[in-house]
Amino acid sequence: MCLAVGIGLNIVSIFTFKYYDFFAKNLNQWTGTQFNYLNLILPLGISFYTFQQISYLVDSYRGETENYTFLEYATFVSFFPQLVAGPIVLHEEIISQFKDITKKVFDHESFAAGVYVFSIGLFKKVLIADTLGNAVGYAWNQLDYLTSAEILIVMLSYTFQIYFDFSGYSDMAIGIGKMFRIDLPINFWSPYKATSIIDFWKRWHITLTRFLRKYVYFPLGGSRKSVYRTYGNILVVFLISGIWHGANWTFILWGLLHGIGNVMNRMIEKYWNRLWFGLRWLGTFMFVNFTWLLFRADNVHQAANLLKRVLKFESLKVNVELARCYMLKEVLWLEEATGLSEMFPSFPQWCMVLLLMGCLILCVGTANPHEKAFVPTLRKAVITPVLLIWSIISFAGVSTFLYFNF
Amino acid sequence: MNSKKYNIIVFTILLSGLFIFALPTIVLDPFFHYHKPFEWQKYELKEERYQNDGIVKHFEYDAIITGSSMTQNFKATEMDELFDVKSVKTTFAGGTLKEVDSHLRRALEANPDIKCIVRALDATMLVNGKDQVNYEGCPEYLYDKNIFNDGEYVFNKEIFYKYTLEGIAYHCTAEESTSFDDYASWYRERPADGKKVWDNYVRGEKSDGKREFSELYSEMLQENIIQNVVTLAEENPDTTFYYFIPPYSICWWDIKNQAGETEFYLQAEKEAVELILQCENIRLFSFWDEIELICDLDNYSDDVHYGEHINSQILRWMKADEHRITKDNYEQYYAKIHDFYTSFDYDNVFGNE
Repeated sequence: MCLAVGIGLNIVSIFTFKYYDFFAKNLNQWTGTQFNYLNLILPLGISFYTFQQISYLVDSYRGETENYTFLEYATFVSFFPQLVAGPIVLHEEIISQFKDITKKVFDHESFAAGVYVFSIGLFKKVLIADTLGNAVGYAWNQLDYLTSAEILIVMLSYTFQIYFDFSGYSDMAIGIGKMFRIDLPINFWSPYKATSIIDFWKRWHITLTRFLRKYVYFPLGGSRKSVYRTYGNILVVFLISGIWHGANWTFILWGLLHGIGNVMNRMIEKYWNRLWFGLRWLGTFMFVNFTWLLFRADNVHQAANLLKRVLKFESLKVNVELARCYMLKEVLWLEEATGLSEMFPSFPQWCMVLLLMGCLILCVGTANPHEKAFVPTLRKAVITPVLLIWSIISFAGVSTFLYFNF
Repeated sequence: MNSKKYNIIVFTILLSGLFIFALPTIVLDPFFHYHKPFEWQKYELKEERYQNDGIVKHFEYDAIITGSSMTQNFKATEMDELFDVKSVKTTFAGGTLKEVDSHLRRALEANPDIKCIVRALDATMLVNGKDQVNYEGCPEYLYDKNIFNDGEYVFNKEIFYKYTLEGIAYHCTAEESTSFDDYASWYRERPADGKKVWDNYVRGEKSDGKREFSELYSEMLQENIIQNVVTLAEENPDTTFYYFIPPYSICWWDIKNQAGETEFYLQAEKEAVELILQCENIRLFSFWDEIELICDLDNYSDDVHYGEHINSQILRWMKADEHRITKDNYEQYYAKIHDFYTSFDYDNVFGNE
């Protein structure tokens, strides 16, 4: 009973803040009801700390928790490095570290590793993800005018943007944790190297998958019952995953598609694994890429429309203004100062291709920074502050105040 | 390499790198946030919302010209000569009363010896929310004294490149600093041209209804004027405020007439004037009765923006106390402009457009 009340309160809280307006809107549309919208501001990190609180309640009910003090519990739920964007941590892996007296002493080794990982995360977010986001945002403001090639490029850009953004935040959280000698779980394990949907979900947002497996999939019976029941359980898990990501049909459909992909992957796993490695990778990457379109779209209709236009291959032209969005400010200034675009009119397009190629290489051609234990070297000691300085001086810009009244 | 050495190298490079990066911006200070320009420094004025605050905090002056784009073509040298002052021009294109008031408050806090302030009170800005600003993203970190948010200024690659480095290039190549005659002025790019105004003017459809100046609008105007115009004057009795309502062209009046808003704007002006006239140290001028000027499109570059010769004329009128609205004459003035703008035969002039 207490467990149900505890979980219920958490769900009511997240439902009110995050999902009420979505449900009200759909009910009003379908049944003609007149529910008012709450238009509440979403508390920062509510999706993450709600899951952590639920996990604690369930484990407590199962007798898997120790006698933590309220301060220890509160510190676990509100641990600032991961509060906003994960990873989703479990009490046993965090509170035990808070209690460990040996971790309360400054450690150069852990601090050095933390600063290194943090600098990579910050760079991924500020320089890579935000530059790609700039291009995606520009394209989304003129969706009706995008050519097939442009939609494809924007789709790919969003695929990279969401990875560098999300994994950048996770790296920063892990890095800050390390600085304080707190080890946070790895959240991304080179997900775009995946060669199947099952493999992708072992690499993407690992702590969310872990949570859903432990607290939803297993209680539903996991794979212990019939094959069809297993498939059903998988679909339920992915449906919840979709809803967790946002209050929109696009997220629900995105979750459902990944669930179906996962089930189909299991159905044909034997044959799938016989395919050439490159083909499996391409198939997986394309599936993930196309489903991200739903994730970014404002509504399902918009995503379907874009997909239709991509498949038509009407035009392969890429607008120079879109291409310029991929240029870092430094490159733009260099271009302005040297007149590079006059000498090479396709310079912006080349910059775009280079950035996207660079992203692809970083995603599939390089080792994950978490793969090996951190070894301090002079090279890293120089790269780390350079990445930090470059990111810090890129935080702010100069606003343009266009006066339209002339 | 051990971790301790690694950490020392990382933080040495990080801190010294940030310091070296920030130093030129702190020293040359293109937005005058920390100090006035050096005697030897030739500086460029080109970014109102980034530089105005530093100008009023650190320059030597005893008069300010401020307001919207209606004030950008004022020449500080003319102001200095007529009023025997040393003025700076800190204007805000599209600036609301709130934005300009906040700026003037910071100016008077930094320099309580300001003798006079010339400011436009646009008719289009009177009926705004009292806290309305038209632009988001203003550099608030330049407007306060909090050094902890100055990172956005000194650790900002865009400012470093566009203002610090280009500022050095300007110093090396330009003959002199930007004057307050030229700062923010646009009359060279958009000179007054009656034919162009006439050719570009597209008359709107005649509205069926009229926009009423309701109680709600009246309250909004009162809050706006009291908070952003009157209070500052009351708090600074030793400063003389030369405020004026800019003369928009007859095209603008036709737009309002077509939209059924003539009475709305006339009533707004009347109520604003009544509130402002309560302050002894505000000298209020309105040029809506300068019919000849308003009907001659050669004075304009579009329906509202007049040429720089009108700015010069406004300064002369204000100095000579002409077109001044007082408690004694405002009823008469209002009756005159009300009669003219409500009975003007707009269709005769614009009907075939």
